[in-house]
Amino acid sequence: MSKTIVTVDDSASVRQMVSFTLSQEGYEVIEAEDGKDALGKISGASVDMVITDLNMPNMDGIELIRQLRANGDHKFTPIVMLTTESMDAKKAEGKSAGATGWIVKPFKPDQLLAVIKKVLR
Amino acid sequence: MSKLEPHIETFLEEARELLTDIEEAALELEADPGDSELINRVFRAMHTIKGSGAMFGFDDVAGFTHHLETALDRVREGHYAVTKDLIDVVLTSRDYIAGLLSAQLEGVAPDFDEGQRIMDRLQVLIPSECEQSGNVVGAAREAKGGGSSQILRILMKLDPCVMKTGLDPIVLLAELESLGEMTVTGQAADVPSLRDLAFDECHLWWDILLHTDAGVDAVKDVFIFVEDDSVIDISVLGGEAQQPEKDMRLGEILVERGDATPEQVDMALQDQKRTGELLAEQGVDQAKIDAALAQQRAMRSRRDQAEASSIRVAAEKLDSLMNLVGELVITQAQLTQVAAQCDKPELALTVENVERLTTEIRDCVLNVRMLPIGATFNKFGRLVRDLSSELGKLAGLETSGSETEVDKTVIECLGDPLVHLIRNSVDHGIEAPDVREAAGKPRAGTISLRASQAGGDVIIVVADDGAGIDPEKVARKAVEKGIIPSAEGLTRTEVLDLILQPGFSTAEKVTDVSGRGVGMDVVRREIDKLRGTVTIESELGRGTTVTIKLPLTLAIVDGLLTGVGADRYVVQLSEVRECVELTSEQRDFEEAGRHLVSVRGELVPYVRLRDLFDLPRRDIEIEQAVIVMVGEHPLGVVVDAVIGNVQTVIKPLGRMFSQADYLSGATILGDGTVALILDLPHIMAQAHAADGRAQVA
Repeated sequence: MSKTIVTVDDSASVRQMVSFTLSQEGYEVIEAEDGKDALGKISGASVDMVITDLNMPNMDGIELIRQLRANGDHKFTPIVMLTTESMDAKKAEGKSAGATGWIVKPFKPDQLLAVIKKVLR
Repeated sequence: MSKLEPHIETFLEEARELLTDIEEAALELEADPGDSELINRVFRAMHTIKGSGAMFGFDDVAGFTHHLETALDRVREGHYAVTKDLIDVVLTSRDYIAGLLSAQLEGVAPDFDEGQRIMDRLQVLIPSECEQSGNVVGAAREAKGGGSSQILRILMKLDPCVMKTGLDPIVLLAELESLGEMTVTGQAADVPSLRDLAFDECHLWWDILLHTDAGVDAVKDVFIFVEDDSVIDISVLGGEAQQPEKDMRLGEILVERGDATPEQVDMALQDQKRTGELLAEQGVDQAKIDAALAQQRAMRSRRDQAEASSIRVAAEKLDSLMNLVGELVITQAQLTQVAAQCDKPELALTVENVERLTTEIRDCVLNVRMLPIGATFNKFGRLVRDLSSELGKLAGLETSGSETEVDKTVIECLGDPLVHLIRNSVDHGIEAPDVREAAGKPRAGTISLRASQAGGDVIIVVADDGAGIDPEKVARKAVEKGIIPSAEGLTRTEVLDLILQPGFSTAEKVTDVSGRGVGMDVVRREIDKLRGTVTIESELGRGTTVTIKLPLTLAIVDGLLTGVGADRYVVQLSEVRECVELTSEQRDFEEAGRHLVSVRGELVPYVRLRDLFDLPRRDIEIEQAVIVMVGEHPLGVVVDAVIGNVQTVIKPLGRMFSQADYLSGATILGDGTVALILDLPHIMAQAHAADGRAQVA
C-alpha cells in the first residue's frame, strides 16, 4: 500500500512542486494550504508523513506540529518542516515542537526525496 | 538582477572565497604536487560550490563543477598524478566558474563552448569512467563507489526523546546499512529498569562497524537531523588506501579495545623510528628534513591561527565606526581646550583620562581595520605565472612579509599599482630564458614581492633580477618626449624617477602586457593618493627594485600644526625631520631667486607658504622652516609659526576644492578651526618648477 504524505504550504506553487514530485515516486499526496486546513484533512485519515511550511496564515507550521504531536495518533509520525537558512531560531523552535527534520528552501526534487527516505520507513 | 535573495548573496560570497581558495591551493600545488592535503582542499572547495550551487539555482555552475569534482576525486585517490596541465585546467575552470556565476547574475548567456573546451581538456587528462551525468543532488551519496573503502566505527547514542520527534532509530540504521556492510552491537547498559522506563524514550545505544566506500561525510549526512541533540561519534578505523605508516595506529585500536595499555603502546612506539630519522638513514640531508618539519609546524600553527574564532563584519560598519572615532577625537580635543580654560584640577584629571581612553580607542579601531597584505599578494602568483607563459618567459614570484598589516583602504588601493609594477617586471625586466642563460643567470627569473613595516610606514618592495633600466636610455627618451629640457645635472635616481612621469614608456615595442605609455605614472598617482612615495633603483643587467612607502593608515595621522597669519596648516608628523629658524640674513639670497637654507652645512630648498598661497609678505625677523622629507629629498616649508603636535582626523576636501593642488585634506581642530593638510609631494614639485624658472631667468 502506498504511503500518504501531507504537504502543507500557503504557496500553491510549492505545494504543486512537492505534490508532483511525490506522486511521481508513487506516494499518495494530500495538499493543505495552512495548519488549520491540514489538521482538518489529517484527522481521520491515515497519514504516514507531513511536510509543512512554517510561515502560514491561520495556523503556522510550529503550531501544527505541536497539535499533531499532542494527538496520540501522530505522536510518532515523521514531520519535516521547510525552513530557510536565515531561520535558525525557527528551526530550533520547530525541533522543540517535535519536528523530525527539515529541508532548507529552496530545494530540488531529489533533495526532497532524499529527506523523505531519511525519515520514512 | 535588482535585489538578490539574502542566501544567494551568501552563496556568492562563499563561492568567491572558495574560488580564491582553489586558486591559492592550485598554485601551491604546482610548487608541491605531492601534497595530498592541497588536492583535498581543491576538491572540498569544488564539492561545496557544487552542492550549494545546485541549491540556489546555479545549475550551470553545479553541473560543470560536478565533472571537475569527479576528476579531482580520482586524483585524490591517487589514480592520476598532479601535472602542470591539470593545474592549468583547474585554474581555467576556476575562472570559468567565476564567469558562470556573474553570467547568471547579469542574466547573460555564459560561454558554454569554453566550458566544453575545458571538459575536453580534462577528459584527455583524466578520462571519466561511466559518468553519472548531471545528478548534482544528494551530493553526499555521490562519493559512493568513487571513494576508497574504509571501516568506520560509529557510536550512536541518540537523545532519549528522539522518538517524540517522529524519528525511528531503525530508519537511521537502515540508511547506514544501505551505505555498506554493517555490524551492529546494541548496548543496553543505559536502559532503566522496567518500572522507570517510559515507552516513548530511547535508551538503547549502538556500536556500529561500517565497511563502506561512501566517505565520512555521507555517513554524517545520515545523522543530520539528530546530530544536534545526540552523541554521534564517527571514527575511521582503517582503509585500503592508507599509507603503511598509518597502519601503526594499531596501538590505538588495541588501547581503545582494552587489549593493550597505553604504556605498552608507548614503549613500543619509543623503539620505533620516526619518518625523519628513517629518511636521514637513507641519506637525505638532515638539515632539509629539519626544514621540512619546521615548515610542517609552521603550516599547522598558521592553520590553527586562521581557524581561531573570528567574526565577519560589514566594511561599512567599520567605516562608520572609524568616522565616529574621528568625531570623538575632535570632540575630545575641544574638551581638553575647554578644560584648560577652566582651571579645575578635578576636571583636568578626568579630561586627561578621557584623552588617554580616546587614544586607546582610536588605536584599537585602527587596528581592527588592519588586514594582512597577504590577501593581495596571493593573486600575483597567478599573474606572474600567466604573464610569463604568455610572453614565453620563465618567471616565479617570491613573497615575504605577507603577514604585514595595512589599513583596509590602503590594501584596496594597492592592487592596481602592484599589478602594473609586476607586469612591468615580467614584461620589461625579466629577459627571455636564452638571453638570461647567455648572461650567466638562471633561465627562470625571480620577481620578489616583499612587505615590511617600518615605524608608521609600510614598505612594499617589488624587485626583479632582470635586465635593469638603462639610465641613459631613460634620459634620452625623456628629452625626446619633452618631459625634461635636458638630462644634464640630473642624478641617477632623478633620471630613474622620470619613468614615473606621465607619458613615459621605454619599451621598444608595445606589447599586449605593458608599454602603452600608461602604467608607471598611474602607479605614482595611486600611491600619491595614499600619501605614499615611490622610488626606483636599478642596476643594468642586475635588475630593478621599486620601493613603495605607505602610511599605515589613512584616516588619522599625527601632524605638526603650523600657522601662517590666522590660517592653520598641518604637516604630517612622520615626514617632519626638524624645524629650523629662517633669519633675515639667510633670506638675502632670495633676491637672486635662490630659496635655499643651510641646515648644518646642507643646503635645503624651501618654499614659503605665503608665496605659495599668494598671501602678503610680512616683515618679521625670524620665520620658521619646517624641514620635511619628500621621498629622499629634504624640503623646507616656511611658515610664520610652529604651533605644536596635533592629532588629525583627515577629512577629504570637497569636489569644489579638487583644483587645490597643494592640499591633501582638511581637519578640524579642538577650537573648531579648520586646518588644511599640506600635500608635500606637490609642493616639492612646485619648488622644483620655481627653481627651474629662476635658473632659466
